[in-house]
Amino acid sequence: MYFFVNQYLLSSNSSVEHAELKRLALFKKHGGEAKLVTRDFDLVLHDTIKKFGLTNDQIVNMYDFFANTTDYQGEKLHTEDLPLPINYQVGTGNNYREVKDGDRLVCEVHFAAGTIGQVNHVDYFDIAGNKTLRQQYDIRGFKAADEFFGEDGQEYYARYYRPDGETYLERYFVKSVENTPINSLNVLRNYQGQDRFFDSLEDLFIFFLDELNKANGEDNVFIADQPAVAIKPVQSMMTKAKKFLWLPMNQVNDGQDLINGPLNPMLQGPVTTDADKWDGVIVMTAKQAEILQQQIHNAVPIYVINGVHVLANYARINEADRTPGQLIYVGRLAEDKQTSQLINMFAQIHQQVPESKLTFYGYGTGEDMDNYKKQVKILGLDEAIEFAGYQISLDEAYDQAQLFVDASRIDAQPLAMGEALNHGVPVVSYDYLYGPREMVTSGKNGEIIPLNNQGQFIQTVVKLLQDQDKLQSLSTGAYDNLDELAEEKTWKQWQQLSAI
Amino acid sequence: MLFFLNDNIQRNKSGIEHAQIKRLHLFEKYHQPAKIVTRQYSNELHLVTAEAGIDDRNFINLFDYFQEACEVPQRNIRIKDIPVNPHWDRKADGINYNYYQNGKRILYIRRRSDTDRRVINIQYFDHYGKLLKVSWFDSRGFISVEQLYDWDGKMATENYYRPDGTLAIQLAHQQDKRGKEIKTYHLFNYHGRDYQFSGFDQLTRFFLDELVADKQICGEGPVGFVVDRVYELGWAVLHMKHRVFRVLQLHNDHVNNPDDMLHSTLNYNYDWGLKHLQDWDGVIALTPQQQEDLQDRFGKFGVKIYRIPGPIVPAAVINKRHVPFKKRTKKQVVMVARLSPEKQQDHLLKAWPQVLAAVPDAKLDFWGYANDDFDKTLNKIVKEEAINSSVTFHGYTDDVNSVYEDAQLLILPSRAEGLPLSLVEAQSHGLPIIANDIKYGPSDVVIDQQDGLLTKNGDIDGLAQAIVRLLQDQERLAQMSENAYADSERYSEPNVMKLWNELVADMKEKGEE
Repeated sequence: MYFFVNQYLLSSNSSVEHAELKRLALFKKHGGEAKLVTRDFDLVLHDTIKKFGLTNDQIVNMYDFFANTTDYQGEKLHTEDLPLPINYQVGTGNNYREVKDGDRLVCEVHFAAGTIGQVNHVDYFDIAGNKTLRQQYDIRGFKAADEFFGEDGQEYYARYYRPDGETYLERYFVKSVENTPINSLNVLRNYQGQDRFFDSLEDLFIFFLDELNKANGEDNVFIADQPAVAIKPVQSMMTKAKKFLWLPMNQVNDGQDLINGPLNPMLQGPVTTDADKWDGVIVMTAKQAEILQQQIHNAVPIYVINGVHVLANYARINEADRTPGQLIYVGRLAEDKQTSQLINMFAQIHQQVPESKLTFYGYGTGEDMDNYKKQVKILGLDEAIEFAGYQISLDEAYDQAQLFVDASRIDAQPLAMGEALNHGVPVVSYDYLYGPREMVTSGKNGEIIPLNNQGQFIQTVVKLLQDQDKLQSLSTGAYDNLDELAEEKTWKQWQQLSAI
Repeated sequence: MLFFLNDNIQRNKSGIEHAQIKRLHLFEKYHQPAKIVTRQYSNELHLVTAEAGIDDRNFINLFDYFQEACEVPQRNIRIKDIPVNPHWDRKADGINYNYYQNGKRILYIRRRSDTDRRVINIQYFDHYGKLLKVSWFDSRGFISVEQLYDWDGKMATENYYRPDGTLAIQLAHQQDKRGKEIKTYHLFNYHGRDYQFSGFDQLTRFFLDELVADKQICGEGPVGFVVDRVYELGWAVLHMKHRVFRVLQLHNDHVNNPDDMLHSTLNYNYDWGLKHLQDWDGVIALTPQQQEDLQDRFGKFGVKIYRIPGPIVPAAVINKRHVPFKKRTKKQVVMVARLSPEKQQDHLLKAWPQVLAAVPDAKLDFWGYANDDFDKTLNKIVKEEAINSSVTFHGYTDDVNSVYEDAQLLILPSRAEGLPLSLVEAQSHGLPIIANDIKYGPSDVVIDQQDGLLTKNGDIDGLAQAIVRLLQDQERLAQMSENAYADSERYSEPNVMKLWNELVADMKEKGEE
């Protein structure tokens, strides 16, 4: 069994999760046994996985594991299903409902986002308005936790329940010097006949990974996908397992010299003192493997496995049938992605090609997004630039786009670039480490522009938009040159690990 | 079913609890259904009730009721029954143990006492050394409450569990804007519902309504309450949704100034209850004199005033062989009462030097626990009067009968009483009494010159002379002792039950309306 170790699966995800989702589909298609492993408590996880086309046998969450609820099937739970006494009057509302005893507020019933009145949590208040209790309901219709609040209003204790009401876990929180909560004790109750005490969530997670390994006959393959959350726990496992560190990012932080700069601190241990605990590091491109090899020498074996394998052969859409002048960018919006620079460049492109439009798919921090929207307004591009947000299916968006534009300065392998090419969308991208050069050949399926040469970037896009024949030949080139990303090849790359 | 309603029962019982327990035994004897009902939590509650001879079947506590723990088979939890990790280091701390994981203390297990080695609680610590939780074992052997400490070390949550480990009640401690404590009670999965109550009285009100509707407990007949602590419980009873037969039991003088029975302000314990007189089906006075005073002042409202004495002399005591007067310790004087200003032990101590002057071998023993640090005041007087060689303070005793059967004379120099239990008890054990003639009780119990003497409140010389007179006339004292045995039959079980039967008949009549 392959376990892809992550922190969570949310309704909006980053490329780490998307790479895992693609991988799960690949394994499923080829009969490989694999599961996504998540750490965080998540009331709506089992609704989220449906949105991403996963089934219960493709995921295992730590809390589900200890609660024995991985396969639990329940009923949708609405306000009227709650055990509220008839004495209380329930108000109305789309996001939450107030429950009152006369004019005294007893509790508020809050609904899960994106559902029609399915209960997510119930907050109780005392007569002075202090929150005294939060009852958390799993989307499958059972009370999954009670959270308790101290006199300062902070959560300090939580109990986690199985559907039959039995408590399987207790968690305690104390105050740090910065007044933030620290989880200082976790007690796993009556686990195989004994209470187990863990000082931190990470310690509990390590124990869980070992128990998961044992429950699956040991010697399974663990891929640490989310570096901040997975590296240390996978490395600390005591049971027999194969362990690989998946590198979903550049090994050197943004802002540093990417060839000679220091390694990201999270990687220091695994390639030095803890190297013996790992069976390998996996990168997505040969170029990254080459550079990493120079940086860490032979401390740990390095494997290359493509992260953006193309799964289906989509119907070919001619450029003439796409929206004229439609540019697209898909991915996180942020300053390492140089989103503001791309907006500025587009302003000049738009002057020369008035029918051009740029649509962003993806999300950024609230502050960044505000800035980008302000920037667009100042440039007077409200009509030409759209922030379409995060969307689960982008097939339609790719099939309507004429060009994929990427002005980033760093990545490991841009997932969306592969998806764009898969849909016959030519790419204009800066030449950054790592990814674009592996997927795009200038003049064949797109154009590679020297990093931060804005003039050339603008000129190239303008020329292509004005030359639909050239654009069509690049689109055809995109459809025709997918061998490097082909799923068969990617699946073979995975086979390397099985042979170890 | 008649419920005797109290706030709490503790090891140190006041006259109210003693009266309830005796009343319960009387009802048991005459097969009249009754139960004592209390509302305060204690992990030792069933140790106390067992010691007091209260059968679990005739006792309901609010927490027990909601924790489904009214009757729980006894389990004795020892250290070895706690499933600690065998890899932890253990270090003894007296009779208790600390446990360490990776060098950090994680658990502290406490035992009840040197003599009772069962586990009383388990304390949980995190690796920073902060106390997180204390799990308390009920004396019957299950974790009945967990106290949880918030970021600032304040006990913000108390979770009460059923014996099966499910959460029954959460008590949340919070503060309002002025820093005053707010207690909120959550009741979980009670007949499938979750309730929240904004205070203890609200929860009590709900509890009483559930109790009177609980056929398994009440049976089919009419249900009623004798409210023995109306100050604590009157609000909940009078705000119940079910209107059941309810009477207010007085345990003391109901006014602050006994010299003006018609106009005096009311004793704070009964003030609210009596101001809602018409909401009651009756008031129970302890003595004929109190009954008359109540009738004079409140008779116009038409609420029935019963008269039922609190003390009951059990048949076993009535039939017991009389202690020959010669067997009693000569010149032994006792006072059995809480050490408390209204009991006026200080008056007796001030009279004592005069007694010693006339009867040098007289001895004075005090029995009872102290209220409001009054023992310090008394000790000071003993020192000032230099009488420590003949005066002894013993504290509370569970075996008060031995005291009554050993002494020659009992003194009660109080300024106010209801119907003091100790007087009836002492009398039933043949002990002559000297008591202040105050309201209420002494003049109903003591027949002046026959089984004791009545003295004037505040007349310390008179008190001293009365004591001297009797101690010096041993023959008369022996006769008074015999008279005391005979006079106590007024409080015999059949005589008191007759009075209760009248009230039970009224309850049945109202129940059928």
